[in-house]
Amino acid sequence: MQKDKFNIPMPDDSTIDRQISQIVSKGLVRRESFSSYLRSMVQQVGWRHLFSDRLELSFIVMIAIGLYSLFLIMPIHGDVQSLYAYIFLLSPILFLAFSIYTYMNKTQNATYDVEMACKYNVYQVVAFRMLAFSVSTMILNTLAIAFVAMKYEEIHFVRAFMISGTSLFLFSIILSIALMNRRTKGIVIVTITIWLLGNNILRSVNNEFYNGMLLHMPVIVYAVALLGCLILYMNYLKKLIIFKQTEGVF
Amino acid sequence: MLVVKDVSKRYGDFTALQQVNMEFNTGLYGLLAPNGAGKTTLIKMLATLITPSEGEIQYNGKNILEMDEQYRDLLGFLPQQFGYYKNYSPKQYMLYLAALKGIGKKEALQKIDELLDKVALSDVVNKKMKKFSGGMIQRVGIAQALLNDPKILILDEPTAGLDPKERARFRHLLTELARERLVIISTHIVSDIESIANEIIMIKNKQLLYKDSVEKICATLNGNVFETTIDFDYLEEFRKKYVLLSEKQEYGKMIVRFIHKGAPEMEWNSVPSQLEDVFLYEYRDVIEGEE
Repeated sequence: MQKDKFNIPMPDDSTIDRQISQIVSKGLVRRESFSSYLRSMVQQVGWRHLFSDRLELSFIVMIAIGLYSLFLIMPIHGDVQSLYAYIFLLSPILFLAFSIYTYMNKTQNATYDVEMACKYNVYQVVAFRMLAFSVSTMILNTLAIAFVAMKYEEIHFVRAFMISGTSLFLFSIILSIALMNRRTKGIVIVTITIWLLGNNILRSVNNEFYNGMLLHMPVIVYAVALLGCLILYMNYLKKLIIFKQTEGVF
Repeated sequence: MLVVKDVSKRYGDFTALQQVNMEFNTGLYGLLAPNGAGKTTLIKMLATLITPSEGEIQYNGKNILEMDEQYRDLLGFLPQQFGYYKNYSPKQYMLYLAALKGIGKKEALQKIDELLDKVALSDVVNKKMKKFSGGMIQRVGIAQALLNDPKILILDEPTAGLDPKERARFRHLLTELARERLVIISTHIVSDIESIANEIIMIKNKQLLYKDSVEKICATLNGNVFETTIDFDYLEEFRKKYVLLSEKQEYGKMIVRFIHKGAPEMEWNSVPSQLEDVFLYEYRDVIEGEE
Protein backbone atom coordinates (compact mmCIF):
# COMPACT_ATOMS: atom_id res chain seq x y z
CA MET A 1 0.00 0.00 0.00
CA GLN A 2 1.34 3.33 -0.97
CA LYS A 3 1.64 5.81 1.87
CA ASP A 4 -0.21 9.10 1.40
CA LYS A 5 1.89 12.11 2.05
CA PHE A 6 -0.04 14.91 3.72
CA ASN A 7 0.76 18.33 2.55
CA ILE A 8 -0.22 20.97 5.07
CA PRO A 9 0.13 24.45 3.63
CA MET A 10 1.96 26.92 5.87
CA PRO A 11 -0.44 29.72 6.86
CA ASP A 12 0.57 33.30 6.11
CA ASP A 13 1.75 35.69 8.85
CA SER A 14 -1.57 37.45 9.28
CA THR A 15 -3.41 34.11 9.72
CA ILE A 16 -0.80 33.02 12.28
CA ASP A 17 -1.21 36.30 14.22
CA ARG A 18 -4.99 36.08 14.09
CA GLN A 19 -5.03 32.49 15.30
CA ILE A 20 -2.51 33.17 18.09
CA SER A 21 -4.59 36.06 19.41
CA GLN A 22 -7.71 33.88 19.17
CA ILE A 23 -6.04 31.13 21.23
CA VAL A 24 -4.74 33.63 23.78
CA SER A 25 -8.10 35.36 24.15
CA LYS A 26 -9.89 32.03 24.64
CA GLY A 27 -7.25 30.60 26.95
CA LEU A 28 -6.74 33.59 29.18
CA VAL A 29 -9.74 35.00 30.96
CA ARG A 30 -9.38 38.79 31.21
CA ARG A 31 -9.39 40.01 34.80
CA GLU A 32 -12.17 42.46 35.33
CA SER A 33 -11.30 45.73 37.02
CA PHE A 34 -12.77 46.31 40.48
CA SER A 35 -15.08 49.07 39.29
CA SER A 36 -16.41 47.11 36.33
CA TYR A 37 -16.88 44.11 38.61
CA LEU A 38 -18.99 46.23 40.98
CA ARG A 39 -20.92 47.66 38.03
CA SER A 40 -21.80 44.22 36.66
CA MET A 41 -22.72 43.11 40.18
CA VAL A 42 -25.21 45.97 40.49
CA GLN A 43 -26.56 45.24 37.01
CA GLN A 44 -27.00 41.54 37.62
CA VAL A 45 -28.04 41.45 41.26
CA GLY A 46 -29.75 44.83 41.48
CA TRP A 47 -29.89 47.33 44.37
CA ARG A 48 -33.07 45.77 45.68
CA HIS A 49 -31.48 42.40 46.30
CA LEU A 50 -28.15 43.79 47.46
CA PHE A 51 -30.09 45.42 50.32
CA SER A 52 -32.86 42.87 50.49
CA ASP A 53 -33.60 42.56 54.17
CA ARG A 54 -36.27 45.04 55.24
CA LEU A 55 -35.50 44.54 58.92
CA GLU A 56 -31.85 45.28 58.23
CA LEU A 57 -32.70 48.42 56.29
CA SER A 58 -35.01 49.70 59.03
CA PHE A 59 -32.30 49.04 61.60
CA ILE A 60 -29.73 50.92 59.53
CA VAL A 61 -32.01 53.95 58.99
CA MET A 62 -32.86 54.02 62.71
CA ILE A 63 -29.18 53.96 63.68
CA ALA A 64 -28.40 56.76 61.23
CA ILE A 65 -31.23 58.98 62.48
CA GLY A 66 -30.42 58.23 66.13
CA LEU A 67 -26.69 58.88 65.91
CA TYR A 68 -26.93 62.10 63.91
CA SER A 69 -29.76 63.48 66.01
CA LEU A 70 -27.65 62.83 69.10
CA PHE A 71 -24.61 64.45 67.56
CA LEU A 72 -26.42 67.52 66.26
CA ILE A 73 -28.78 68.13 69.16
CA MET A 74 -26.27 67.52 71.94
CA PRO A 75 -24.59 70.76 73.10
CA ILE A 76 -20.84 70.44 72.54
CA HIS A 77 -18.70 71.46 75.46
CA GLY A 78 -15.02 72.14 75.21
CA ASP A 79 -12.65 73.78 72.78
CA VAL A 80 -12.01 73.47 69.06
CA GLN A 81 -9.35 70.83 69.67
CA SER A 82 -11.90 68.60 71.36
CA LEU A 83 -14.29 69.05 68.47
CA TYR A 84 -11.68 67.92 65.93
CA ALA A 85 -10.79 65.01 68.20
CA TYR A 86 -14.45 64.00 68.42
CA ILE A 87 -14.78 64.17 64.64
CA PHE A 88 -11.73 61.90 64.24
CA LEU A 89 -12.92 59.47 66.88
CA LEU A 90 -16.58 59.27 65.91
CA SER A 91 -16.56 59.54 62.11
CA PRO A 92 -16.46 55.74 61.58
CA ILE A 93 -19.24 55.03 64.10
CA LEU A 94 -22.06 54.94 61.58
CA PHE A 95 -20.07 52.88 59.11
CA LEU A 96 -19.20 50.50 61.92
CA ALA A 97 -22.82 50.07 63.00
CA PHE A 98 -23.95 49.41 59.42
CA SER A 99 -21.12 47.03 58.52
CA ILE A 100 -21.11 44.97 61.69
CA TYR A 101 -24.83 44.42 61.55
CA THR A 102 -24.81 43.36 57.91
CA TYR A 103 -21.69 41.19 58.38
CA MET A 104 -23.01 39.33 61.39
CA ASN A 105 -26.46 39.01 59.88
CA LYS A 106 -25.15 37.53 56.62
CA THR A 107 -22.47 35.22 57.98
CA GLN A 108 -24.45 33.85 60.94
CA ASN A 109 -27.71 33.37 59.04
CA ALA A 110 -28.99 29.88 58.24
CA THR A 111 -29.02 30.90 54.57
CA TYR A 112 -25.22 31.25 54.61
CA ASP A 113 -24.45 27.96 52.83
CA VAL A 114 -27.01 28.53 50.08
CA GLU A 115 -25.85 32.09 49.46
CA MET A 116 -22.17 31.11 49.58
CA ALA A 117 -22.67 28.75 46.64
CA CYS A 118 -24.21 31.50 44.46
CA LYS A 119 -22.27 33.36 41.79
CA TYR A 120 -22.22 36.47 44.01
CA ASN A 121 -21.59 35.02 47.45
CA VAL A 122 -21.96 36.36 50.99
CA TYR A 123 -18.51 38.01 51.11
CA GLN A 124 -19.03 39.75 47.81
CA VAL A 125 -22.38 41.14 48.95
CA VAL A 126 -20.88 42.17 52.32
CA ALA A 127 -17.94 43.91 50.61
CA PHE A 128 -20.34 45.69 48.27
CA ARG A 129 -22.49 46.83 51.19
CA MET A 130 -19.43 48.01 53.11
CA LEU A 131 -18.46 50.15 50.16
CA ALA A 132 -21.98 51.57 49.93
CA PHE A 133 -22.00 52.19 53.70
CA SER A 134 -18.66 53.99 53.63
CA VAL A 135 -19.89 56.24 50.81
CA SER A 136 -23.16 57.00 52.65
CA THR A 137 -21.30 57.59 55.92
CA MET A 138 -18.97 59.98 54.09
CA ILE A 139 -21.94 61.93 52.71
CA LEU A 140 -23.78 62.04 56.05
CA ASN A 141 -20.58 62.97 57.91
CA THR A 142 -19.97 65.79 55.43
CA LEU A 143 -23.49 67.14 56.01
CA ALA A 144 -23.03 66.91 59.78
CA ILE A 145 -19.65 68.67 59.57
CA ALA A 146 -21.16 71.43 57.41
CA PHE A 147 -23.82 71.89 60.06
CA VAL A 148 -21.21 71.98 62.88
CA ALA A 149 -19.04 74.39 60.87
CA MET A 150 -22.01 76.73 60.49
CA LYS A 151 -22.71 76.52 64.20
CA TYR A 152 -19.10 76.94 65.40
CA GLU A 153 -17.07 79.47 63.50
CA GLU A 154 -13.77 78.07 64.83
CA ILE A 155 -14.29 74.84 62.90
CA HIS A 156 -12.65 74.89 59.49
CA PHE A 157 -14.85 72.85 57.13
CA VAL A 158 -12.15 71.53 54.79
CA ARG A 159 -9.91 70.40 57.67
CA ALA A 160 -12.82 68.78 59.49
CA PHE A 161 -13.86 67.04 56.25
CA MET A 162 -10.33 65.70 55.69
CA ILE A 163 -10.03 64.52 59.31
CA SER A 164 -13.40 62.80 59.11
CA GLY A 165 -12.63 61.10 55.76
CA THR A 166 -9.17 59.91 56.85
CA SER A 167 -10.57 58.57 60.10
CA LEU A 168 -13.41 56.79 58.32
CA PHE A 169 -11.22 55.04 55.75
CA LEU A 170 -8.47 54.27 58.26
CA PHE A 171 -10.99 52.54 60.47
CA SER A 172 -12.55 50.78 57.46
CA ILE A 173 -9.13 49.34 56.57
CA ILE A 174 -8.56 48.10 60.13
CA LEU A 175 -12.03 46.54 60.23
CA SER A 176 -11.63 44.84 56.81
CA ILE A 177 -8.30 43.32 57.88
CA ALA A 178 -9.79 42.16 61.18
CA LEU A 179 -12.82 40.59 59.49
CA MET A 180 -10.69 38.77 56.94
CA ASN A 181 -8.44 37.27 59.59
CA ARG A 182 -11.00 36.23 62.17
CA ARG A 183 -14.68 36.20 61.58
CA THR A 184 -15.90 36.46 65.15
CA LYS A 185 -17.85 38.95 67.22
CA GLY A 186 -14.80 39.07 69.49
CA ILE A 187 -12.56 40.55 66.82
CA VAL A 188 -15.10 43.30 66.18
CA ILE A 189 -15.17 44.22 69.87
CA VAL A 190 -11.35 44.14 69.94
CA THR A 191 -11.18 46.42 66.88
CA ILE A 192 -13.56 48.98 68.39
CA THR A 193 -11.74 48.87 71.73
CA ILE A 194 -8.36 49.35 70.03
CA TRP A 195 -9.74 52.31 68.07
CA LEU A 196 -11.25 54.04 71.12
CA LEU A 197 -8.41 53.19 73.51
CA GLY A 198 -5.71 53.93 70.93
CA ASN A 199 -7.10 57.40 70.33
CA ASN A 200 -7.54 58.14 74.03
CA ILE A 201 -4.12 56.77 75.00
CA LEU A 202 -2.42 58.75 72.24
CA ARG A 203 -4.27 61.84 73.39
CA SER A 204 -3.49 61.42 77.09
CA VAL A 205 0.14 60.34 76.61
CA ASN A 206 1.09 62.98 74.07
CA ASN A 207 -1.69 65.53 73.82
CA GLU A 208 0.53 68.03 72.03
CA PHE A 209 1.37 65.57 69.26
CA TYR A 210 -2.25 64.43 68.94
CA ASN A 211 -3.63 67.97 68.76
CA GLY A 212 -0.81 69.02 66.50
CA MET A 213 -1.80 66.32 64.08
CA LEU A 214 -5.43 67.36 64.09
CA LEU A 215 -5.03 71.14 64.19
CA HIS A 216 -1.77 72.06 62.55
CA MET A 217 -0.97 69.37 60.01
CA PRO A 218 -1.26 70.98 56.54
CA VAL A 219 -4.52 70.18 54.78
CA ILE A 220 -2.57 68.87 51.79
CA VAL A 221 -0.97 66.20 54.02
CA TYR A 222 -4.46 65.19 55.10
CA ALA A 223 -5.54 65.07 51.48
CA VAL A 224 -2.64 62.71 50.65
CA ALA A 225 -3.39 60.57 53.75
CA LEU A 226 -7.07 60.44 52.76
CA LEU A 227 -6.22 59.38 49.23
CA GLY A 228 -3.78 56.75 50.52
CA CYS A 229 -6.40 55.36 52.93
CA LEU A 230 -9.00 55.31 50.17
CA ILE A 231 -6.71 53.35 47.82
CA LEU A 232 -5.76 50.91 50.61
CA TYR A 233 -9.41 50.46 51.57
CA MET A 234 -10.38 49.64 47.98
CA ASN A 235 -7.55 47.15 47.92
CA TYR A 236 -8.82 45.43 51.07
CA LEU A 237 -12.38 45.42 49.77
CA LYS A 238 -11.11 43.67 46.65
CA LYS A 239 -9.45 41.10 48.91
CA LEU A 240 -12.67 40.65 50.86
CA ILE A 241 -14.49 40.03 47.56
CA ILE A 242 -12.19 37.15 46.61
CA PHE A 243 -11.97 36.02 50.21
CA LYS A 244 -12.16 32.24 50.60
CA GLN A 245 -13.62 30.35 53.47
CA THR A 246 -10.93 28.13 54.98
CA GLU A 247 -12.63 26.71 58.01
CA GLY A 248 -15.88 24.83 58.01
CA VAL A 249 -18.16 22.30 59.53
CA PHE A 250 -17.91 18.66 60.39
CA MET B 1 -14.86 16.72 34.23
CA LEU B 2 -14.60 17.14 38.03
CA VAL B 3 -11.47 15.67 39.61
CA VAL B 4 -10.64 15.41 43.31
CA LYS B 5 -6.84 15.18 43.55
CA ASP B 6 -5.07 14.04 46.74
CA VAL B 7 -7.51 16.02 48.86
CA SER B 8 -7.21 16.07 52.65
CA LYS B 9 -9.13 18.19 55.12
CA ARG B 10 -8.06 18.84 58.68
CA TYR B 11 -9.69 20.86 61.43
CA GLY B 12 -6.89 21.47 63.89
CA ASP B 13 -5.77 18.04 65.08
CA PHE B 14 -8.81 16.27 63.64
CA THR B 15 -8.56 14.80 60.15
CA ALA B 16 -11.92 14.62 58.37
CA LEU B 17 -10.62 13.32 55.02
CA GLN B 18 -7.23 12.02 53.97
CA GLN B 19 -5.74 11.71 50.50
CA VAL B 20 -9.01 11.32 48.65
CA ASN B 21 -8.86 10.87 44.87
CA MET B 22 -11.86 10.52 42.57
CA GLU B 23 -13.26 11.58 39.22
CA PHE B 24 -16.79 12.55 38.23
CA ASN B 25 -18.35 12.70 34.78
CA THR B 26 -21.91 13.24 33.58
CA GLY B 27 -24.31 11.03 35.52
CA LEU B 28 -25.56 10.43 39.02
CA TYR B 29 -23.18 9.69 41.87
CA GLY B 30 -24.38 8.62 45.29
CA LEU B 31 -22.12 9.49 48.20
CA LEU B 32 -23.09 6.91 50.76
CA ALA B 33 -21.68 6.80 54.27
CA PRO B 34 -22.94 7.00 57.85
CA ASN B 35 -23.17 10.35 59.62
CA GLY B 36 -19.79 11.75 60.57
CA ALA B 37 -17.85 9.89 57.87
CA GLY B 38 -16.85 13.09 56.06
CA LYS B 39 -19.63 13.30 53.44
CA THR B 40 -20.54 16.89 54.22
CA THR B 41 -16.88 17.90 54.34
CA LEU B 42 -16.35 16.51 50.84
CA ILE B 43 -19.60 18.05 49.59
CA LYS B 44 -18.66 21.46 51.04
CA MET B 45 -15.27 21.29 49.36
CA LEU B 46 -16.94 20.44 46.03
CA ALA B 47 -19.24 23.43 46.54
CA THR B 48 -16.25 25.71 47.42
CA LEU B 49 -17.68 26.45 50.86
CA ILE B 50 -14.50 25.19 52.46
CA THR B 51 -11.03 24.71 51.03
CA PRO B 52 -8.95 21.51 51.16
CA SER B 53 -6.02 21.47 53.60
CA GLU B 54 -4.08 19.57 50.93
CA GLY B 55 -4.64 18.72 47.27
CA GLU B 56 -7.06 20.37 44.89
CA ILE B 57 -10.34 19.93 43.05
CA GLN B 58 -10.33 20.61 39.33
CA TYR B 59 -13.11 21.22 36.84
CA ASN B 60 -12.02 20.58 33.26
CA GLY B 61 -8.40 20.91 34.39
CA LYS B 62 -8.85 24.18 36.31
CA ASN B 63 -8.73 24.55 40.08
CA ILE B 64 -12.29 25.30 41.18
CA LEU B 65 -11.09 27.82 43.78
CA GLU B 66 -9.26 29.78 41.11
CA MET B 67 -12.30 29.59 38.84
CA ASP B 68 -14.18 31.30 41.69
CA GLU B 69 -17.52 32.72 40.48
CA GLN B 70 -17.02 31.08 37.07
CA TYR B 71 -17.32 27.72 38.87
CA ARG B 72 -20.20 28.79 41.12
CA ASP B 73 -22.01 29.87 37.95
CA LEU B 74 -22.05 26.19 36.92
CA LEU B 75 -23.05 24.98 40.36
CA GLY B 76 -26.40 24.11 41.94
CA PHE B 77 -26.19 23.35 45.64
CA LEU B 78 -28.56 22.18 48.35
CA PRO B 79 -26.90 22.18 51.78
CA GLN B 80 -27.77 19.73 54.53
CA GLN B 81 -29.56 22.45 56.46
CA PHE B 82 -31.38 24.52 53.91
CA GLY B 83 -31.76 27.98 55.41
CA TYR B 84 -34.50 30.36 54.32
CA TYR B 85 -36.11 33.64 55.31
CA LYS B 86 -39.29 32.78 57.18
CA ASN B 87 -41.26 35.77 55.92
CA TYR B 88 -40.39 35.17 52.28
CA SER B 89 -42.56 33.21 49.90
CA PRO B 90 -40.80 30.57 47.73
CA LYS B 91 -41.12 32.94 44.78
CA GLN B 92 -39.53 35.88 46.67
CA TYR B 93 -36.71 33.74 48.02
CA MET B 94 -36.01 32.17 44.65
CA LEU B 95 -36.05 35.60 42.98
CA TYR B 96 -33.47 36.75 45.53
CA LEU B 97 -31.27 33.69 44.95
CA ALA B 98 -31.70 34.03 41.18
CA ALA B 99 -30.37 37.59 41.47
CA LEU B 100 -27.34 36.35 43.45
CA LYS B 101 -26.82 33.78 40.72
CA GLY B 102 -26.81 36.59 38.16
CA ILE B 103 -30.07 35.58 36.45
CA GLY B 104 -32.23 38.37 35.02
CA LYS B 105 -35.67 38.94 36.57
CA LYS B 106 -37.70 38.05 33.48
CA GLU B 107 -35.85 34.81 32.90
CA ALA B 108 -35.94 34.02 36.63
CA LEU B 109 -39.71 34.45 36.93
CA GLN B 110 -40.31 31.98 34.12
CA LYS B 111 -37.81 29.50 35.55
CA ILE B 112 -39.22 29.79 39.09
CA ASP B 113 -42.76 28.92 37.94
CA GLU B 114 -41.44 25.95 35.98
CA LEU B 115 -39.30 24.65 38.88
CA LEU B 116 -41.91 25.11 41.60
CA ASP B 117 -44.30 23.19 39.39
CA LYS B 118 -41.71 20.43 39.02
CA VAL B 119 -41.49 20.04 42.81
CA ALA B 120 -45.29 20.27 43.19
CA LEU B 121 -45.33 23.63 44.95
CA SER B 122 -47.16 25.67 42.32
CA ASP B 123 -50.16 26.09 44.65
CA VAL B 124 -48.12 27.82 47.36
CA VAL B 125 -45.86 30.03 45.25
CA ASN B 126 -46.83 33.18 47.16
CA LYS B 127 -47.40 31.71 50.63
CA LYS B 128 -44.93 32.59 53.39
CA MET B 129 -42.47 29.79 54.01
CA LYS B 130 -42.88 29.93 57.79
CA LYS B 131 -46.11 27.96 57.29
CA PHE B 132 -44.39 25.22 55.27
CA SER B 133 -43.71 21.64 56.40
CA GLY B 134 -40.16 20.24 56.41
CA GLY B 135 -40.81 18.39 53.16
CA MET B 136 -42.09 21.54 51.45
CA ILE B 137 -39.02 23.53 52.55
CA GLN B 138 -36.79 20.76 51.24
CA ARG B 139 -38.60 20.92 47.89
CA VAL B 140 -37.97 24.68 47.71
CA GLY B 141 -34.31 23.82 48.37
CA ILE B 142 -34.25 21.36 45.49
CA ALA B 143 -35.93 23.89 43.17
CA GLN B 144 -33.49 26.70 44.04
CA ALA B 145 -30.52 24.41 43.31
CA LEU B 146 -31.82 24.09 39.74
CA LEU B 147 -32.36 27.83 39.13
CA ASN B 148 -29.25 28.40 37.03
CA ASP B 149 -29.63 25.14 35.08
CA PRO B 150 -26.39 23.90 36.68
CA LYS B 151 -23.84 21.68 35.00
CA ILE B 152 -22.91 20.36 38.46
CA LEU B 153 -25.70 19.66 40.92
CA ILE B 154 -24.67 18.84 44.49
CA LEU B 155 -27.32 17.80 46.99
CA ASP B 156 -26.48 17.09 50.62
CA GLU B 157 -29.08 14.80 52.22
CA PRO B 158 -31.82 16.00 49.86
CA THR B 159 -34.49 13.53 50.91
CA ALA B 160 -34.53 14.51 54.58
CA GLY B 161 -38.13 15.27 55.53
CA LEU B 162 -39.66 13.96 52.29
CA ASP B 163 -42.47 11.40 52.46
CA PRO B 164 -42.32 8.18 50.33
CA LYS B 165 -44.35 9.73 47.50
CA GLU B 166 -42.12 12.80 47.42
CA ARG B 167 -39.02 10.58 47.50
CA ALA B 168 -40.25 8.66 44.47
CA ARG B 169 -40.98 11.90 42.60
CA PHE B 170 -37.54 13.19 43.58
CA ARG B 171 -35.78 10.05 42.29
CA HIS B 172 -37.61 10.44 38.98
CA LEU B 173 -36.55 14.09 38.76
CA LEU B 174 -32.91 13.22 39.50
CA THR B 175 -32.78 10.51 36.84
CA GLU B 176 -34.05 13.06 34.33
CA LEU B 177 -31.53 15.69 35.45
CA ALA B 178 -28.53 13.34 35.46
CA ARG B 179 -28.91 12.66 31.75
CA GLU B 180 -27.07 15.83 30.84
CA ARG B 181 -25.20 16.93 33.96
CA LEU B 182 -23.19 15.78 36.91
CA VAL B 183 -25.36 15.08 39.95
CA ILE B 184 -23.80 14.23 43.30
CA ILE B 185 -26.08 13.20 46.15
CA SER B 186 -24.90 12.63 49.65
CA THR B 187 -27.07 10.37 51.77
CA HIS B 188 -27.03 7.67 54.41
CA ILE B 189 -30.28 6.21 53.11
CA VAL B 190 -29.42 3.40 50.69
CA SER B 191 -32.83 3.21 49.00
CA ASP B 192 -32.54 6.86 47.89
CA ILE B 193 -29.79 6.09 45.42
CA GLU B 194 -29.61 2.31 44.97
CA SER B 195 -31.84 2.23 41.92
CA ILE B 196 -30.77 5.48 40.26
CA ALA B 197 -27.04 6.07 40.85
CA ASN B 198 -24.56 5.31 38.08
CA GLU B 199 -21.88 4.97 40.71
CA ILE B 200 -21.76 4.76 44.48
CA ILE B 201 -18.99 6.37 46.50
CA MET B 202 -18.29 5.07 49.98
CA ILE B 203 -15.91 6.71 52.45
CA LYS B 204 -14.43 4.80 55.37
CA ASN B 205 -11.68 5.72 57.82
CA LYS B 206 -11.40 9.15 56.17
CA GLN B 207 -10.50 7.53 52.82
CA LEU B 208 -12.25 6.38 49.68
CA LEU B 209 -13.50 2.82 50.13
CA TYR B 210 -15.49 2.21 46.94
CA LYS B 211 -16.34 4.19 43.83
CA ASP B 212 -18.10 1.80 41.54
CA SER B 213 -21.44 0.68 40.14
CA VAL B 214 -24.00 -0.85 42.52
CA GLU B 215 -23.50 -4.27 40.89
CA LYS B 216 -19.73 -4.26 41.36
CA ILE B 217 -19.94 -3.06 44.95
CA CYS B 218 -22.54 -5.74 45.73
CA ALA B 219 -20.29 -8.35 44.08
CA THR B 220 -17.72 -7.80 46.87
CA LEU B 221 -20.04 -9.77 49.15
CA ASN B 222 -21.22 -12.36 46.64
CA GLY B 223 -21.53 -15.79 48.26
CA ASN B 224 -21.20 -14.35 51.74
CA VAL B 225 -24.77 -13.27 52.42
CA PHE B 226 -27.14 -15.87 53.88
CA GLU B 227 -30.61 -16.21 55.30
CA THR B 228 -31.75 -18.81 57.79
CA THR B 229 -34.42 -19.45 60.41
CA ILE B 230 -33.38 -19.78 64.04
CA ASP B 231 -35.05 -20.00 67.45
CA PHE B 232 -35.60 -16.76 69.27
CA ASP B 233 -33.51 -18.03 72.22
CA TYR B 234 -30.50 -18.56 69.96
CA LEU B 235 -30.64 -15.00 68.55
CA GLU B 236 -28.32 -13.39 71.11
CA GLU B 237 -25.62 -16.00 70.54
CA PHE B 238 -26.09 -15.78 66.76
CA ARG B 239 -25.62 -12.00 66.89
CA LYS B 240 -22.27 -12.49 68.62
CA LYS B 241 -21.07 -15.06 66.06
CA TYR B 242 -22.11 -13.41 62.78
CA VAL B 243 -22.60 -9.96 61.28
CA LEU B 244 -26.37 -9.65 61.28
CA LEU B 245 -27.89 -7.56 58.50
CA SER B 246 -31.56 -7.92 59.36
CA GLU B 247 -33.87 -9.96 61.52
CA LYS B 248 -37.58 -10.63 61.15
CA GLN B 249 -39.97 -12.46 63.45
CA GLU B 250 -42.27 -15.03 61.79
CA TYR B 251 -44.38 -17.80 63.38
CA GLY B 252 -42.44 -17.60 66.65
CA LYS B 253 -39.08 -18.06 64.90
CA MET B 254 -36.53 -15.55 63.66
CA ILE B 255 -35.55 -15.17 60.01
CA VAL B 256 -32.08 -13.67 59.99
CA ARG B 257 -29.97 -12.26 57.18
CA PHE B 258 -26.26 -12.24 57.89
CA ILE B 259 -22.74 -12.33 56.52
CA HIS B 260 -20.34 -15.21 56.86
CA LYS B 261 -17.03 -15.51 55.08
CA GLY B 262 -16.27 -19.22 55.21
CA ALA B 263 -17.95 -22.57 54.71
CA PRO B 264 -21.73 -22.23 55.13
CA GLU B 265 -23.90 -24.58 57.14
CA MET B 266 -26.45 -26.86 55.47
CA GLU B 267 -29.59 -25.03 56.52
CA TRP B 268 -28.38 -21.62 55.38
CA ASN B 269 -29.67 -20.19 52.10
CA SER B 270 -27.20 -18.15 50.07
CA VAL B 271 -28.92 -14.96 48.83
CA PRO B 272 -27.78 -12.27 46.38
CA SER B 273 -26.06 -9.37 48.14
CA GLN B 274 -27.59 -5.90 48.08
CA LEU B 275 -26.10 -2.45 48.55
CA GLU B 276 -27.67 -2.20 52.00
CA ASP B 277 -25.77 -5.40 52.98
CA VAL B 278 -22.43 -3.87 51.93
CA PHE B 279 -23.30 -0.66 53.77
CA LEU B 280 -24.23 -2.47 56.99
CA TYR B 281 -21.19 -4.75 56.75
CA GLU B 282 -18.61 -2.06 56.02
CA TYR B 283 -19.90 0.37 58.61
CA ARG B 284 -20.86 -2.20 61.26
CA ASP B 285 -18.57 -0.64 63.89
CA VAL B 286 -19.92 2.88 63.33
CA ILE B 287 -23.54 1.69 63.26
CA GLU B 288 -23.13 -0.45 66.40
CA GLY B 289 -21.46 2.52 68.06
CA GLU B 290 -24.46 4.71 67.22
CA GLU B 291 -26.83 2.11 68.71
